[in-house]
Amino acid sequence: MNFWRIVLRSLKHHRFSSILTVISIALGIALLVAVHSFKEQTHNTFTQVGLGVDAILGPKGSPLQIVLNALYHLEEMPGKIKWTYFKEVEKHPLVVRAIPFAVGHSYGGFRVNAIDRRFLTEFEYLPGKSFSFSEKDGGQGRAFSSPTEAVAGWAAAKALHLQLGSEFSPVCGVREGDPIHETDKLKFVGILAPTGTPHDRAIYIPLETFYLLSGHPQETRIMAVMEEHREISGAYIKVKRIRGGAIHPGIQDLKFAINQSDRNQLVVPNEVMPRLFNIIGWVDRVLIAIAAILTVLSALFLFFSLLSALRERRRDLALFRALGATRRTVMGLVIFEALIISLLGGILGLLLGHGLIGAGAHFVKVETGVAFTASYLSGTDWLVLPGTAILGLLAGLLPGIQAYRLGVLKNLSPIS
Amino acid sequence: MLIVTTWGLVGELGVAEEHHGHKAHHGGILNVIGKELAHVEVLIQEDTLEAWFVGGGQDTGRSVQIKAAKIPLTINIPSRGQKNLVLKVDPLKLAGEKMGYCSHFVARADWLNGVKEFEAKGSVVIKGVKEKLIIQYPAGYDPLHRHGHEHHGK
Repeated sequence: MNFWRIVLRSLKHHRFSSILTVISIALGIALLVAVHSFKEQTHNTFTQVGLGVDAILGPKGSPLQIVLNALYHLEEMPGKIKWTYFKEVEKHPLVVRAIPFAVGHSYGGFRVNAIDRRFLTEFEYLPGKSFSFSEKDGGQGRAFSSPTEAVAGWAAAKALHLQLGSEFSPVCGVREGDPIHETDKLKFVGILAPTGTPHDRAIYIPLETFYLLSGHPQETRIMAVMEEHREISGAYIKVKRIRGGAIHPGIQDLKFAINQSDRNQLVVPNEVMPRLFNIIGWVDRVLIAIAAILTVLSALFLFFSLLSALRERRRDLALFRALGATRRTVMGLVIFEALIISLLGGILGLLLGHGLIGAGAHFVKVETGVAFTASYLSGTDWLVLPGTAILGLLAGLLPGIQAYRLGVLKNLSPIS
Repeated sequence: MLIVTTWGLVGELGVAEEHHGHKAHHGGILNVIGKELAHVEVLIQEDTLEAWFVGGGQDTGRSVQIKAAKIPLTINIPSRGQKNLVLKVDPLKLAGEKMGYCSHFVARADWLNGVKEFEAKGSVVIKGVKEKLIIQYPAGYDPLHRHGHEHHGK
């Protein structure tokens, strides 16, 4: 009988404890893999992508609140800014594009963002990627061109079963029970192709429509025609680039100047979001610690089950030795058994971990519009198999040494 | 979980953002005015010297307006001797500043090209108090020499 058949037979003989050990290692690894993948993908989405916006011009208040509201359609904008001030910023030589918007409406739980039409036609949500209405990309229709037309983001359209030609009345507010603009009917003329960003989770209407909604007071309606009285929630700002595509360093001077004003501030998402991750970094650390403890406990379980199996198999192993097996072969049997169990646990853990991400990705996309992918390989994935192999070797080492030292005569002598 | 936690911590970050760093926001050199009543951040780029008057202590992210149209400076440049330079107002329009009461001053001179080191002296009225204006470039003027205070740029 060859070496590998003996190893497999031994595993089969102890299948209950072997399967239990494989599962416990797999659970630890799965948690480790899932936490790392979610962490890296979330970090990439919230910090590196920037969602096509170099900066957000907004009112005074928490910069994080402004980023979450303007880019992720969460929270609420802390105030409004003057249109005339926005126009001054738009004229600044460093600014290449400024897209004004007004928030504060919703429909079916999704935010309604009143925005300049250029957002749908010129804005790049990722370098080189503009919004698409093309059917081959998954979109439909076209951008709005009149105050009674609207466009839905892909996730909003899917969740609300919106079709081209569907009509809706926006809710004046973002909370349950807020009044509805019942006499205003806006028609969907376009559904954006999926972008995998929070932009999918909003409904877009023309900026001027915000001021013309019938339920708004006269002072808001007058903003449609009188620019000096007009207010907006904020604006997406794109600035000049320097060589290599990096944001022009002058953005710091622009930010400083705007931040000195009484009512306005310039928020750079890529500066704000890493600060958030520094604050909530402990969540990752706790989860990773739990996963690491679980994995180490599984290795200990493997170690004790190997020791216990060794006690039961002393006579078998002594018999192998008597039949000509060397000390090294017997030691190898035990160590490879541990190695196979831990590697099986590692492989199953990888599959489970990515399965968890796949299942969680759907939930996250529905809730936030942020696309996670189960196939994303984090830095941890590459370490899983070598790591579990080392754990398996360590767990099998002591039982293996015991097997190496096994006395043939002593263990073959009659028990009674 | 991270995303759920995100908006739970909005308030927490809001508080954290209140603390301003003791840093030069324009990438220049911070120089203390008076008993750290304020700072002047100075940056030379080619033939242009820019000066921003900002808050004292840790408050260097806030501008301090000066009621002056120009600020004359006497500058000592090692191996080049003494020069005169006049800083002229250049209001930060987006900050709502007006001529004659602003925080940003600029001077241009051909001889500024290539200047890596100098000491400048002048005076300025800050918050109603006339203070000596001493600029040490690129070391940064800090008579209190406090440890842990970074007076350099980004």
